[in-house]
Amino acid sequence: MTRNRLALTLAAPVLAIVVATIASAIALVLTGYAPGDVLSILADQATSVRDLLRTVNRAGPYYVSGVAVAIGFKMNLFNIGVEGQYRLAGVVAAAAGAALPLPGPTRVIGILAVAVLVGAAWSGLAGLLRAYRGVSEVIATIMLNAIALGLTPFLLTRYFEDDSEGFAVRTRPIPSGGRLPFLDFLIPGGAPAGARFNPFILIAIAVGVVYYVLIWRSRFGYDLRASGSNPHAARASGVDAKRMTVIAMAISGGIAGLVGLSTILSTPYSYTEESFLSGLGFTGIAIALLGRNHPVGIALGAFLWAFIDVSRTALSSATPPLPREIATIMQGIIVFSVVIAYEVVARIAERRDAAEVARRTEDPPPTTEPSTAGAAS
Amino acid sequence: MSGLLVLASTAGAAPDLASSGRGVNSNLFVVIAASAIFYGTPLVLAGLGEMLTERSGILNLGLEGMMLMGAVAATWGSLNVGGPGWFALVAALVAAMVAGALVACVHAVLVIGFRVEQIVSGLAITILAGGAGLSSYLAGSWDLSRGPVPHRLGRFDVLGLGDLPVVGPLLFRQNLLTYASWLLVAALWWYLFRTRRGLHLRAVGESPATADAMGIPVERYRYGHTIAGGALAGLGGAFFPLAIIPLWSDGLTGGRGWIALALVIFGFWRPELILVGAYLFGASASLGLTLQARGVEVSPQLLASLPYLLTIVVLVAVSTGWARRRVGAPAALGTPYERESR
Repeated sequence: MTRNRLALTLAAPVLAIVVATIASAIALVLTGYAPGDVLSILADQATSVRDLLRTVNRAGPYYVSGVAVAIGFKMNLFNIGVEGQYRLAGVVAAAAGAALPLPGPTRVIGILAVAVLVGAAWSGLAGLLRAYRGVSEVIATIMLNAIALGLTPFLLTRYFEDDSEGFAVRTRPIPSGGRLPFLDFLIPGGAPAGARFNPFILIAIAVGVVYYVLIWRSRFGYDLRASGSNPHAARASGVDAKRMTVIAMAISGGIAGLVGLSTILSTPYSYTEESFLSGLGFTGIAIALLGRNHPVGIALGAFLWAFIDVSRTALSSATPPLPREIATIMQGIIVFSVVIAYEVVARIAERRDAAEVARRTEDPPPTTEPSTAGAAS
Repeated sequence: MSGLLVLASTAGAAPDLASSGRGVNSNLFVVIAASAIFYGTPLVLAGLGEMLTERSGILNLGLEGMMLMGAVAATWGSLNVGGPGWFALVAALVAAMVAGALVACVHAVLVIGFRVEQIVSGLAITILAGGAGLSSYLAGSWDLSRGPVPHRLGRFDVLGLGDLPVVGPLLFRQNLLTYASWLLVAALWWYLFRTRRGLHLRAVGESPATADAMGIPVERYRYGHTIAGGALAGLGGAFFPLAIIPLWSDGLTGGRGWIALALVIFGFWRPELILVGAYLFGASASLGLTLQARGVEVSPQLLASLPYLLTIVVLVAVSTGWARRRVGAPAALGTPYERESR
C-alpha cells in the first residue's frame, strides 16, 4: 500500500516531464526546428557557472512569488493579484527606503516591513471583499492588479521621482545601510565576469522557511489548511472562516510585497520602470502549480522556470538562430503537462483507494460508482 | 498582466473618428462617445463570448490568450490571403474565429474532459498563448510585422447618414464588425431568453444535475458554448490588427481580455448590459487621451484605472441581499459536473 502510494506520488511529475518533453519536441519539429539543437543549448547551459548563477538570481523572485500564490491555494483562494501587490509594494518600499530616517542596517528591516505592509494591505482589500461582500477574489484581484498598474507609475512620477539627476524616471537611491552585499564569495572559484550573486536569494530562503513553519508547523497553519480542504468541518471546530480568508489573503499579499525587492535592496538600489522586474505575478501562479504548493516543490519549479528563461538569450544567439518564444512555449507545455498529470494520477489513486476500502470492508461495492467514495473525502 | 500597461499607449494609434465632422460632431462629448464605441467593440465581442461560456457553467480565464491568437490569425489572413480585399478580410475574420475556437477546445477538453481546475487551465492558456508565448512565436515565424495589414475594416458610412449631428458619428460611421456586434447582442439576447436552447443553456449553468435529469446533454452544451465563446474572443482579437493597430506588435490586445472578463460580471451575464459596460470601458480608454490632446491636465494612468475601480464598486453594490437574489452568476459556474457524483 505505501509502496503504491510512493509510486503514485512520483508518477505524476515523471509523467509530466515525459509528456512535456515529447510535446515540446513535436512543437519544434512541426515548426521546422530540430529538437536536438535546443537540447544541446540547454545542456551547455546546465554546465555553465555563469548561466547557473543567472538562473539562481532569477529563481529567487520567482520562488517568493510562487509561495505568495501557494499560501492562497492552501486555503482555496486564488490570489491572481500578486502582480499588482508587488509592484505597488516595490515602488512604495523604494521611496520609503530612501526617505525613512533609520540608522544603519535597520534600514533593510524598514524596507522589508514597508513592502510587506503595502502588499498585505492591497491583497487584504480583496480578502475583505471576499469575506464580507462575497466578491470573488479572482475578479477582485484582477481589478486591483489593473488599478495598481495605473497607480504605480502615477505615484512614481507624481510623488516619488528623484529630480536630482539625469532623465531616467526613478526613485531616490537607497542609502548604504539599506543595501544588501553581493554573495559572490559563495561561488567556488569566484564570480564569473559580468555576473554577480544577488543577495535576494537569502530572502527567498527565509520566505520558504517561514512558509513551511507557518503552514505545516503552527496552529494557524492547521486551521488554514483545514478551512481550505473542508470549510464546514473547520467552521464546526471553531475557525472563523471570514477572518481566516482576510488573514490568508493578507499574508499572501505580504509575501508578494517582497517579490520585487531584488532590484531595490541590490542594484540599482531604486525603483525604475526598466530595472524593476515585471510579470512575476503570473509566473508565480505557474510555479505554485508546478510545485504543488510544497516549499521544496516550488523551489524546483522556480529553478526550472528560471533555467528555461535564461536559455532565451542562447536560443536567439545560436547559429542558425532559434526563436526565443520556444522557451515560453516549453514553459506553457510544462504547466499543462503537470496539471493534467496530477489530475490523471489523482483519479487513479482515488479509484484504487476506493477499491481498497471496498475490499477491506468485504462488502459488496455500494450502488454508486467506486470513484465517488474518494471524491467525497 | 504587464500588457495592461500597453493599454494607454496603444489606444493612441486609433484614428480620430470625428476628425471629418464639423460643428457639433467635433464636440468633445461626441468624439469621446464615438471612440468609446470604437474601442468598446472588441470588448463587446470577447465579453459576449465569455458570457456564453460562463452561462454554461465554465469559467474561461484564457480569454486574453484566445484574443491574441485571434489577432495573430487575422493578421496572417489579411497579409497572406489573395483575391479581392473583401475576400481576404472575410478569410482573416474566419481565421481569427477558428484560432480562438481551437484554443477554447483545449480549455474545454481540459476542464470538461479531464476536470482540471477551471481557473488553473484558463491561466495556463493565457501563459501559453499570451503576449510572450505562442502568439508571438507564430507572429515571428510568419514574419507578421513585415508591414501593416493591407486589408482593414474601414469606416462604413451607412446610407450617407454619417454626417448627421451627434448620431452620425456614433451610429452610422463605425466599421462593419461594430455593426455585427450590435446584431450579435440582439441575437444572443433572443437566444438566451427567448429560445428553448437558451433556456437549456441557462439550466446547464444553474444546475447541471437538474438539466441532466431533464435529458439535456450537459457536456455537449458545455463544449459547444465554450468553443463558441472562444470563437467570439478570437473575433474580438481580430479587431485589433484589422481596425486599431494595423502593424503587428506582440501582446497588442494589451490586457483587454481581462477587462472583458470583468465586463461579464459588470453586465450581470446579460448581453445588453455587457454592451453598455464595454462602451464605458472604451470611453475611459479614450477619455484621457482626448482630454490630454485638448490640453486638459489629467493623469492618464489614473483615468485608465477608473473602470476597474468602478467594477469593484458595482460588485460591492450588487452584493447586497436584494441584488444578489436578482442578478447572480450562474450557480454552477466553475464547478465540474460529474454524473451521479452527488
